[in-house]
Amino acid sequence: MISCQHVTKTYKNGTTALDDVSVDVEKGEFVFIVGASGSGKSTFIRLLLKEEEVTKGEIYVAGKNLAKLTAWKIPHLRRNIGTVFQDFKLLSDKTCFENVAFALEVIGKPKHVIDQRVPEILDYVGLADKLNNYPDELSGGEQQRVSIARACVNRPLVLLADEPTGNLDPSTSVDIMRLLDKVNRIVTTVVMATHDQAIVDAMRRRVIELDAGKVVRDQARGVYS
Amino acid sequence: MARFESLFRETTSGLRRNGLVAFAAISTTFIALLLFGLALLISRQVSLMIEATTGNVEVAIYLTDPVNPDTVHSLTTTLNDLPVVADVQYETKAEACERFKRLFANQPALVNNVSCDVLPASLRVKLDDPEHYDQVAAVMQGQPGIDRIVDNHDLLDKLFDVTRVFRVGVLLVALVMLVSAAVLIANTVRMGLFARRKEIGIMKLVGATNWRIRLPFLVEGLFESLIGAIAAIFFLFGLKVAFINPLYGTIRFVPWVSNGDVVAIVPWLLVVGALVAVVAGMVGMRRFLDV
Repeated sequence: MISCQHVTKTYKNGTTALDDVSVDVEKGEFVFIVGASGSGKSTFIRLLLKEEEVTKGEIYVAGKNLAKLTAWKIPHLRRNIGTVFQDFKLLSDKTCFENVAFALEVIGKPKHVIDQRVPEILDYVGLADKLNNYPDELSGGEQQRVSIARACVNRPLVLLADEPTGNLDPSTSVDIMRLLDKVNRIVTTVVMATHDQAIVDAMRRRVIELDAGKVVRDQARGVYS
Repeated sequence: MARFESLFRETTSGLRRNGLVAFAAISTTFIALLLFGLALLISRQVSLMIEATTGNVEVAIYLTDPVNPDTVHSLTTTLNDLPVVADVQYETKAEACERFKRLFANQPALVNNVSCDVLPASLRVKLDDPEHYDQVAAVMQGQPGIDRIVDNHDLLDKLFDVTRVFRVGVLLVALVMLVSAAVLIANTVRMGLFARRKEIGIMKLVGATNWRIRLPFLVEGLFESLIGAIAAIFFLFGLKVAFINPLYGTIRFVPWVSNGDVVAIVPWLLVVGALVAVVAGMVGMRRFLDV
């Protein structure tokens, strides 16, 4: 599903964020990327979305070489990748329903598809009764559920989560992890960058540890450190 | 339809959010296109007047009534033999009458009161170089069948000189205004982008194409400039009705711009307005929307 071969990323200011990283993620896997702040986790996710270009090496997502992807094909890559962030990135002037529907509207899905899929996915993440609530009226955990619903509504091949529990208290984090686990089992491959030790230890999934841009550990059913 | 609905919503919400800047952009476009339209109408008025006074030719040779076809033939041949003559056209009384009616179509009183009988047939001569009028005059003077020879090039030169200054001046002001309109539209587009950078970020993340992201902003700019253009068109009609209509028939044998002439410049105003908006929109979005 994702294949990185000797990927190096050096920013213009000379910082090397990733240094010769080779990682393969199979279809249906759940992978934690762990490491301290500045270890290259977010850069890794930005490279997968082609928000940044690799300096050296190659990345394949769903069989496509990202380096050879032309600018106007990038949107189509991103339609296959769901994204979830620490800060939810919800639009405060739209309801839950509208926030999720927005993701389908802007890629040109017809109204009947939107009307069918949006309630379905919001029900799936456990927000069936909050369709018409605005983000301000929801708890942090609920907002993150909306953003997971938005990331999954177009049935992506991969879900990228960048510190999805970073803004949540421990018990809410556990709920979100249960949901991501469910998403992983039923819908899609999940790659999650985090430095939440408790969660990684509890889940016992594959762990890739980055330190100063290098892979220092790649362990099936691993723990944080 | 859902797509158009969501596009439309984004466009109109953008206009509402940027109310004041949008108003500045609309009014500047209005003034710019009003001046541009004025310049076009002035040009039209001048060319009407020139046609009425000179018939658009450098030398007109009016023939005596009744016209003898043989005379026409021999005069034409003589003229064509002159090296300085570029072209000779024979205009019959009936053709002269047609032209007169066309020029003064919006002044029926004048057309009805002038009998076509008084309009003479003429030979209309174009010269390689207008300075060579003397040679034509010398050869034609005293030939039979000629009523009088009129040299228009002095008059034409003066008319063109006077009106050129005026036209270029108005066009220059219009150009400056168009540039400011473009800058203001670019600014509204940019402010809209800034106000909605979060939405745009999400659109990019979920895989909206660049055009899907840009279109609402382009349409917003287009909308502003077309409102300005339409206001300018109505204003020009108003000006024409208020200031030109009372002049109909006041000065004998002077034609004035008609409603049709104003209608004829409408597409120009719309096209220029749209172009300015599209260029301004592209400039406003540049850099901002790289993937």
